[in-house]
Amino acid sequence: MSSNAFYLPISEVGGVGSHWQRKVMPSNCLHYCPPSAGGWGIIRVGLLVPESVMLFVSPAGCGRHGAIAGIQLGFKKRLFLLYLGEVDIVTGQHMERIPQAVADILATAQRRPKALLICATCVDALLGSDYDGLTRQLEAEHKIPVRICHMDPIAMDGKTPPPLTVQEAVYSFLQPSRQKEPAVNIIGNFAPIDAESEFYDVMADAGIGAVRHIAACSSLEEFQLMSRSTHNVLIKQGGRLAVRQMQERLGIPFCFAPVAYGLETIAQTYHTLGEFLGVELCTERYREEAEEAINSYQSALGPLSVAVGSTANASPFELARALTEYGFRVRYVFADLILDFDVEHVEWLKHHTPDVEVFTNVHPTMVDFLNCGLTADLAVGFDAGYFCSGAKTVPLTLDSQPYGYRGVISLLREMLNAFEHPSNHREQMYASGMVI
Amino acid sequence: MKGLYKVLPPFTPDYSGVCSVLFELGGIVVIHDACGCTGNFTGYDEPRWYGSSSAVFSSELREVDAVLGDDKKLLGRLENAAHILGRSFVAIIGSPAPMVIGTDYEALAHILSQRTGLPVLTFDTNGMHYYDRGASLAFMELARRFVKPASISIETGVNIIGATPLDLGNRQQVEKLISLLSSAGCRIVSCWTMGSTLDDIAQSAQARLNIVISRTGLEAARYLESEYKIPYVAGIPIGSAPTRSFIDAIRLWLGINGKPAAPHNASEPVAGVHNALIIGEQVTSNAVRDCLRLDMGITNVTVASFFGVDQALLKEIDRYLDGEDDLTALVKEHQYDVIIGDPLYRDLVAPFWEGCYVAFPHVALSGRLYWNSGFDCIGEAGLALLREGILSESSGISVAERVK
Repeated sequence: MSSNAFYLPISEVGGVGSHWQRKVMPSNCLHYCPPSAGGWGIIRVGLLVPESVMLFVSPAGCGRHGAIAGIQLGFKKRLFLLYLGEVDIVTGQHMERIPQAVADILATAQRRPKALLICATCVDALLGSDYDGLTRQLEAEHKIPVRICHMDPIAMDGKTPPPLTVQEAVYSFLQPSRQKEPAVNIIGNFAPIDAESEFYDVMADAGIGAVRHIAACSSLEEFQLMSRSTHNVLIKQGGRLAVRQMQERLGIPFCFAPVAYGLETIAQTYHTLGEFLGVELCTERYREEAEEAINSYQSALGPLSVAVGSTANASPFELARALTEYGFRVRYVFADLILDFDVEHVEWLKHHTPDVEVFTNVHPTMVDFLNCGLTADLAVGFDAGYFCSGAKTVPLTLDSQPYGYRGVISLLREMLNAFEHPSNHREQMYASGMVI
Repeated sequence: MKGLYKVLPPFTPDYSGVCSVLFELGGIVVIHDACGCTGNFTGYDEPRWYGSSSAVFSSELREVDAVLGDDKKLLGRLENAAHILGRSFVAIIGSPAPMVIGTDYEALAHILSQRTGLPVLTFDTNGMHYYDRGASLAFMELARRFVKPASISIETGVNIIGATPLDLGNRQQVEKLISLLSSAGCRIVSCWTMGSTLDDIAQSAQARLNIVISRTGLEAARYLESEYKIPYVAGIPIGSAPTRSFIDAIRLWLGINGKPAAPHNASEPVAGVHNALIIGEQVTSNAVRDCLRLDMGITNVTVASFFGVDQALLKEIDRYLDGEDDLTALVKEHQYDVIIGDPLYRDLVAPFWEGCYVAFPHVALSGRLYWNSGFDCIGEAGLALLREGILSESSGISVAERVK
């Protein structure tokens, strides 16, 4: 390392903080927002509810990133913004203006929405605005379900950070159902598991009649079928509050079966899943398929040096471990948080690849990243691609969902594709519509 | 309904306006927020962010710190950054959450300045106002805090005030403007704030004229006029005849000899265009109006703006817009033949209006959606843009569609 950018050798990674997430960066630092920061954002996640609209109640500036991403990605027509002024903050008058705004939106909508989300922000969190009474009033008046969600990053380090509470709000539209069907809901991520994944066949062989995901539902009615499912499979931590609420309210038990790319981790995940479902899952042939693919792609790609980022659709530490196990050389990991799931993989990396360096995306010294001279042949995740500016980048975004052994094959295919059809990082990243 | 926006995205907020002005000046620029506001600026308001080493940060304000009023954490982070990054000043910029808890920015500046020895600027912004207010505050603060009395006066020296990508879109526009002025015999003392350093700005009092190219620079220019007796002109050269007039006027101010522009012959009005509406920032919109009038013979032109308007630059026909309903009412009432503005305004008027829409992207509205469109409006290119937009609309090909 030739620069002063903050990093930790993997051997020193432990993390600071509490609850379920620990930070890599020391707490006495300002927060850098690289261009590669972001994901789906609260608004886009909230609007996963089919046939819904959102009223975003905030100071004018707060909704800008979500609204422009909405224009870019096509959901802006379902997003409405009610601006707060100083007088509203002092008097709380905005709570009285919301019913009028809702009536206006419903009266002028080309197609009447079947559900409404109201999104409040940091300001309401500090003011303690009471939205519960308001939602009941609006439901009674307009005969549609109304839920409140929050885009309040001020609560990010607490027990109910907005990326989790928005998913809780989304699934709170589901009504309890007496009818039960042998089906699983996939929770925590934003796109249905890729059709090529073996997961569907594995579930079908195990007698699971349907694999349901919110993004595959074209109507609110179809979304409600998720209440009938017998099991929830949590594949990303962002849904952890949602599955707990669904267990309590709808009686659907859940199991954490995270997205992973290491063969052993995938095998363990299927084992856990089989126990949860009470069946033995037959996955051996898919594993063999993945092993063959690893050998084949590894030969084609050669001994690559790789940087792994945290915007990728993966746990960066688990992915770094997986890539190492495939035979590639992981040089850098860009990660800001260490979740419970990561700990085992951090420990593995400490033992097997002690020369891995862990950077955060957010440390103030990262403004001088160009002087860091970080080089890698391949970067997985937009953040890794940004900081290792000469690397070919595999975005591996949240817009599609690899899973299981065929997720490994999908990743390897994308790695090869990054070399055969290299893309402009900047164009690719801005086109993705990522929102902080 | 006032305050309800159904079509347009939010405009660039005031805190981003401050950041845009300070972006190239080598300071530590900190938005006191929970990261979302900073993400607005870095992701949607600042075309220069990708690949930049500008030190713009979030303070990462959290609920517990806000509720307890714990400023120690913020001060510690600022001090730490000043220590490890070694920049020349610190700016602390407000956002909605610290407004709710009544953050005392002056006290923070006092303490931090004592601890670090650096100048500390503070801006009581709150995300409820638009970029123009924040940028104006920042230009004014630069004028007040950094400009030094001059021992010499450069006879042909000019400062350009009011340059940010939020209004100009891209760096090429500034470069073209500087090139035009240099060719006219001007010496650019400083360009506030694209392409100049804080030291350049400190030398601004050496100039004999300030050229204000957006409304955001007016307050600072007026301050410099009262403090250093430097007069100002407000305008930006768009179009053919207006550019010649602009250059002549500046030469006249500075006493630079040069061949004056040939007398302008009134242009024949474009057939079928009786009235036009320009929606945007006031100085740029006025310049577009000049182009329509002088180059294309379109004289009945209204300028309307969602941003602050300066009375001195306002015509009776012009309008301040306080929301989407104001714009829709204006267009319904006048049924303009031509509307010029950011492509996103078109979505608002399209359901009830049929006419020629000329796309004139404004980063303060559409942000990253068009900032790479290669937009070019300075000088003759401005006329080409408008002429092509207005004339080609009849053949069904609009600029708006092409820049997408």
